[in-house]
Amino acid sequence: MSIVVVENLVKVFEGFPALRGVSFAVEEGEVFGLIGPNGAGKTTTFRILATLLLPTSGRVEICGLDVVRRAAEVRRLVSYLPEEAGTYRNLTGYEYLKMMAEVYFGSGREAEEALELGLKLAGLGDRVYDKMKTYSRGMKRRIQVARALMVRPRVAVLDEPTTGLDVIHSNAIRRVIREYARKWGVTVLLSSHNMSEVEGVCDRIAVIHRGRILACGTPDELREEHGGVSLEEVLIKLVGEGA
Amino acid sequence: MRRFSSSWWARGLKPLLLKEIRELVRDPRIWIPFVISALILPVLGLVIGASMGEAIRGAQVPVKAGLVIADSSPLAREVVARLLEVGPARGVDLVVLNVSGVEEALHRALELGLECVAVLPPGFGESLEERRRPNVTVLYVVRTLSLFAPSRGARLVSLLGDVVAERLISGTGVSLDLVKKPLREVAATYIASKGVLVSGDAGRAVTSLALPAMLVPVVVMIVAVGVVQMAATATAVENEERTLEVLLTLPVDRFTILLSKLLGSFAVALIGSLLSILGFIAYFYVLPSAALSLGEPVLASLHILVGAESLAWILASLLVALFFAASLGIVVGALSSDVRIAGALSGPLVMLIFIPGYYIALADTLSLGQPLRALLYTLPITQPVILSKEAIAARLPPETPLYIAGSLLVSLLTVMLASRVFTLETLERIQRAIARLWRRRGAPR
Ligand SMILES: Nc1ncnc2c1ncn2[C@@H]1O[C@H](COP(=O)(O)OP(=O)(O)O)[C@@H](O)[C@H]1O
Ligand SMILES: [Mg+2]
Repeated sequence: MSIVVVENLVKVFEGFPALRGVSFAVEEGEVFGLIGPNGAGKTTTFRILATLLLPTSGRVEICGLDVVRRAAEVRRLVSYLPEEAGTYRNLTGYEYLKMMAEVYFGSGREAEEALELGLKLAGLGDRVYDKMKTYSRGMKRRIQVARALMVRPRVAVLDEPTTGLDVIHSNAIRRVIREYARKWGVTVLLSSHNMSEVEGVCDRIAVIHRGRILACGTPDELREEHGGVSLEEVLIKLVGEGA
Repeated sequence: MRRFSSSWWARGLKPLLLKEIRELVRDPRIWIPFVISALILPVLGLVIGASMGEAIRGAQVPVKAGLVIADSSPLAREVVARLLEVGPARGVDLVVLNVSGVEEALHRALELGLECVAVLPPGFGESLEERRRPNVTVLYVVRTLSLFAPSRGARLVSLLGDVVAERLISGTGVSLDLVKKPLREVAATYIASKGVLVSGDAGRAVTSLALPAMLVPVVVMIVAVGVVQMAATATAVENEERTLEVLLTLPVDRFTILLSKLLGSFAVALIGSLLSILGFIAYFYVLPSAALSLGEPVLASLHILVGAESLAWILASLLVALFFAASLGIVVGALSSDVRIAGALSGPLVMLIFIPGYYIALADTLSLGQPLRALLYTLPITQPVILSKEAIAARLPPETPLYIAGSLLVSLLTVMLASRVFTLETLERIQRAIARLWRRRGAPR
């Protein structure tokens, strides 16, 4: 059974249909990419998965739990990285990760392990003991990604984890996601508006545009089906058609 | 319920509360309003004291005055001679002006830098002879708008009056001093509302009570406003940085998230308010010492007049008010998508706090209608204002504990209502509506 099931998901904001029947499924241990241009509905989809928004209609289940009716249980299983996530100015990266470890695991050995993992995933060296207001955009994002992954959720939902970062940081984050998902068997959903950013990371990709899924498959399948040399071309072709 | 178990504390409230306090305490901007309100009162005391000192010093400098004599009777000349004789001792430097008409007198007064001019008109001596009130015209010159300047010119009139009176009673064997102050008075004032007897007349007793009774409410309001702004900013930053979005996806219920923000702001506000209270105490020490010889420190009487029990109730009410102010601030901040909107929203809100606050500080609250009084006594923000005022001016009503329980209830209801709307869905909808209004008004985003 799929670990994430999205079926006919519709979300209407004050008359504006941001999602018009989105369906996809994600298998356990997969790294799944939701790719589409700005305004396609990626953030809205992810926010519904993370129990932040309520769907207008349709069904979303994570580990067999309905995200609306069993929201509290879903929050134990899912960790979420918001788009453009910032940080607390006056906390150090270490304090932030420690706080999150305690929120999930209290103060026992489990919490210590989570913190240790978080520090490793962030990979900020001694800078992790500096206040986060001194961090660059990339460092902030690395702390946030580490925070989302270190609690070893069943599903990690990462909204544009590498958007707007320089090559060094975005590479580091992609590597962490890739290696981490393999090592712990965690299911990762991530979004991007840029195909080339996800090419080496995702096992499967869904292309979303104007609230609809236009295509879904492995990178190879997508290239084959839509006759593009690169995934970039596939995206342009699909979105151009959908426009 | 799992809510009060130790895991709720260790896995929910504790780490979140700790984060909240750290984030606030380490932010220098948080301290600005508290430091300002702590400094503003001693500085106010200095300013008031300094201007009082100025007035006292001004009293020691002789008044430069002019005299125009338009009556050549012997009696008038006698009065002038006496004036010139005793003038210096009474702090009046007199010059006789040789002018005709008020206009010319004014001209000369400006030339010579005089502060006032008295004109003895024709018939002055005659009136005196017939034991009627003689006419005199006085011209004052005001150069600055200092509050105490006008009283200086009056010194000439008082001197002139004494000289004339002396002349009127001459030969009766009665001294002028006796006529002017015929009674030896020992006064005491019983303040019925407090059931205390203080020495001195009623005017003095009322002044020494009215000053703190009006100032304490102002301090309470300043503190409340600081707390609202602090909590609003702290929460709006979470929206701006999208950290609130993270918090709302944690395996912690919304009530706990809200509570951690609330208690965090509350705790920091408490520390900040201590600063303000210290500033308030400093005010009462700075004021008299700056005013040189103002006499007894007002604080001493304040301390006697507000009993320990009343003080405890006021503190309890103040705690509830701080808590309420923090929850108001958090609601405002949660509804603001950025710090600027939070600032713009808390401005009018602060006005809503200040207007009833001012009203209470200035109005005679004891004579208000019962429903309005009950309301002011129950609302968490107005309550400590009115309590502290009435504790100083009168006595706390016997139902005070009830009122405090009421205001606690209002605060808790606010938090509960707030935790209901504390979902991203609702918050974003309201934020977007506010942002639309904001843009329609033409303000840049
Ligand atoms: N709270 C909201 N209210 C109204 N419209 C919204 C709201 N959130 C998103 N939208 C709209 O829904 C559409 C999809 O947005 P989003 O899911 O953020 O897209 P993406 O993340 O793919 O860029 C956009 O047109 C956006 O303007
Ligand atoms: Mg988005």
